[in-house]
Amino acid sequence: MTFSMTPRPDSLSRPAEPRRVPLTQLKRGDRATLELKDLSAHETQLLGAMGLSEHCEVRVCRAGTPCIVQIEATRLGIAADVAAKIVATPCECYPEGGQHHTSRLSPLPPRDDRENKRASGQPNRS
Amino acid sequence: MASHTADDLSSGVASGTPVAAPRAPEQVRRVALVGNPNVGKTTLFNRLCGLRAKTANFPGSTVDARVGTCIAGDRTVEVVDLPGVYALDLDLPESRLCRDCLSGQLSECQPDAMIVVIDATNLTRNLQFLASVTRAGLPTIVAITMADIAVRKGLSIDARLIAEHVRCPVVIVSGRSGNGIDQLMQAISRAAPCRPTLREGETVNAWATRVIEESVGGSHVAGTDHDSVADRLDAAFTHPIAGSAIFAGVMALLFLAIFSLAKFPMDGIDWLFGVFGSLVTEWFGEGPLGSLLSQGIVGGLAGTLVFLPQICLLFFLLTLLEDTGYLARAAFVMDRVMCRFGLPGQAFVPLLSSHACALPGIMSTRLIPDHRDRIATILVAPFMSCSARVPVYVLLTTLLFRNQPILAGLAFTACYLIGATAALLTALLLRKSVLRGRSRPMVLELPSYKMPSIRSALYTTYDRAKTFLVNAGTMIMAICIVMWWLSAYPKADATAEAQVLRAQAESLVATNPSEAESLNSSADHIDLRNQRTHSFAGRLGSIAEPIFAPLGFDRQLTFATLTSFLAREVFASTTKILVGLDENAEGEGVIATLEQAKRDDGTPLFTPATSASLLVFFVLAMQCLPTLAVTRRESGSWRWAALQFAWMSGLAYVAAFLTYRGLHLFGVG
Repeated sequence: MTFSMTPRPDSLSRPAEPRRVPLTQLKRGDRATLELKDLSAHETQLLGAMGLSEHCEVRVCRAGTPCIVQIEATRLGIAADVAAKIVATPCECYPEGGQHHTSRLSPLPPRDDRENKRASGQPNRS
Repeated sequence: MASHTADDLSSGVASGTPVAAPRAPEQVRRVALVGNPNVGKTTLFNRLCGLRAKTANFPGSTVDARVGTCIAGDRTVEVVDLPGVYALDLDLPESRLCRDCLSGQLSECQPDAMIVVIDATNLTRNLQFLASVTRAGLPTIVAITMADIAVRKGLSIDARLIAEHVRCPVVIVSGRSGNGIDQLMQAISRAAPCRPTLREGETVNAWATRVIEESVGGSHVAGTDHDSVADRLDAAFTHPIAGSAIFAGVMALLFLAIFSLAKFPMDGIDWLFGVFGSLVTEWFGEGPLGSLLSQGIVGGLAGTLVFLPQICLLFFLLTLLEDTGYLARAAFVMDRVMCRFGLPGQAFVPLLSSHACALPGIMSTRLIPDHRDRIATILVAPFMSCSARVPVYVLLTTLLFRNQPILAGLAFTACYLIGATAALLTALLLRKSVLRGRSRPMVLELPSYKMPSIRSALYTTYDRAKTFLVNAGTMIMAICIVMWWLSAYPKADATAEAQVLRAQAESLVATNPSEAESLNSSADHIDLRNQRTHSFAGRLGSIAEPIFAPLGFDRQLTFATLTSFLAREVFASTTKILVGLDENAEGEGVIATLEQAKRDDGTPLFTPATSASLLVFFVLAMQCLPTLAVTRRESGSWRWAALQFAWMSGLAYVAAFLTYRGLHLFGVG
């Protein structure tokens, strides 16, 4: 594995605050660290046991539904409703053999807004 | 799991998990296989135990317990294959079961030692799991699987170094090739409580990373590489359109194979037991004993074994498919549709299987990890139109639309659609009522793509077939014998009409033997019809007639419907007998005779409204006692079987009533 950690040429002009987007918005080949705060305790516990713990780094093998991510050699398929609740912070580096494209992602609204939306009735799987 | 520290692990009592008293190596009589899902645990179990294994439920649960024996040195050791779990402390049935089993709370399966199976390509998570199970305090052997794949990825697994970090025997094994199995057997006698070398304040995650760095070369080489082939396959198999098309193709091939290949052994079983039944009747006569043996016992055996070819083929092919890694991807494709009805993607295969026969369909719900999802799928699977319904559909759609093949075809298709719609809506209703509750999040580990193991698939098939015969088969046979008794007793005397025909036949034997034979055959039919009418089952039909009258059924149709609760396909043969035909009669003559058949009051037996009502009833009703027996076995309770029977039959009754009355309202008599 030759994963380049070369910084973006324009990295100096980027804001210090890292972009945080839903996992569903990442593209194949993207790398990101994940936040699982929006998941229920049960979901967090299960994902943690499967290797997807808070702030772990993953590679996106397939974007969309399902979202397939790789942690070490493990590939996890995550349904859209769960993936939408996982917040990803894309790594500020070039993915292998590709262009950097995190700038196309629309950042998440502030956390308070999302909590309000959820409180107003977000559809649940069950 | 990752938040545990050395202090947590040093004391099982402190962490809340009771510690089992370690046994001396020579006392090791039972070993538990523990590990994450998809680490090759079952393949290892099959290699260790071969055919010396049986499946039962763990006490007080519906989770499968596979128990077998293997030879370790000069001793026989019992091996318990615990369900694959990601962590012992999860609030999931399989985690609870593993926890209880390892801590000794389930005395029936309490092991003296455990073999923790870990995947060489996924060491971080597996080492964390190993560290967490050591809290049980049991003597441990670590079996590292998938080492060949790890080597292909450029990893070099040093078992000796890992053993130094876990302080218990570590063996590299391959369940597929058998490499390392002898060493694993020998290691059982050296099993020691695993004590991970956690430093003061070190987290399990940090420890796992350190072990990998020191014994493999670092987590950056432990399988973080980019597999473009797997990426492309995943993209295709889970694509909304391409994935669905591939899945449809795979399922079509699967069921084509099952239908075409199972047909021959099923016909063979039918033929064999037909011949055997005739021989038994010849040997023991047509008296009570002969009738019990030929119709009750031989008929019951045939009724059980006839399902076996479909069950074996389905499980063999599904196990192969699961082993390739494809099924986990397919589950996501179907999840998009199934989740709208409260079912997981994995429910699709059992529901599709139920179109062949509900029995293997219900048994294949073991693919579904969540208990509620599994029960919901079991309960709705019999709504799918199985092959046993086909003769009834053919008979009734032909009666409804004689000489109108297009309309008959549409009605036939509608039967399948009504069944599937009822199944999905019932599932939705169940998940919002009696099976309400949190679903397991649809997060699946996608195993690596690999060639399936035929050996392992054969063992699994053998195991499933044996489980079916031992558990469900005995119940099906008992039901068949009871149903035989209900329809065979009390014995009715020969009717006057039959006696007259026989007398005429006797006088014609010399001059016109063929006419004599025909008269005797007619006399037998009349007696058989009389026997069925006056048997306990027939009397039940008369008693139940008022219940079915609102659906347009008379005494004869009520009797035919009641007998078909044993198995739906009986309806066609019973109806033919009731209208004076041979039960094996086929073709246009049968339809013509049925159209002319009359009720006791002289009105036609099959009016369009009655035929439609019957058709709807047969689409929805739970008329298969073997299915109820398997539901009870798979759900672990008669309560679910009773609910399934009551709901399906109740829904069938209401739908048939509405159909009958609705058609009358529109002037269709």
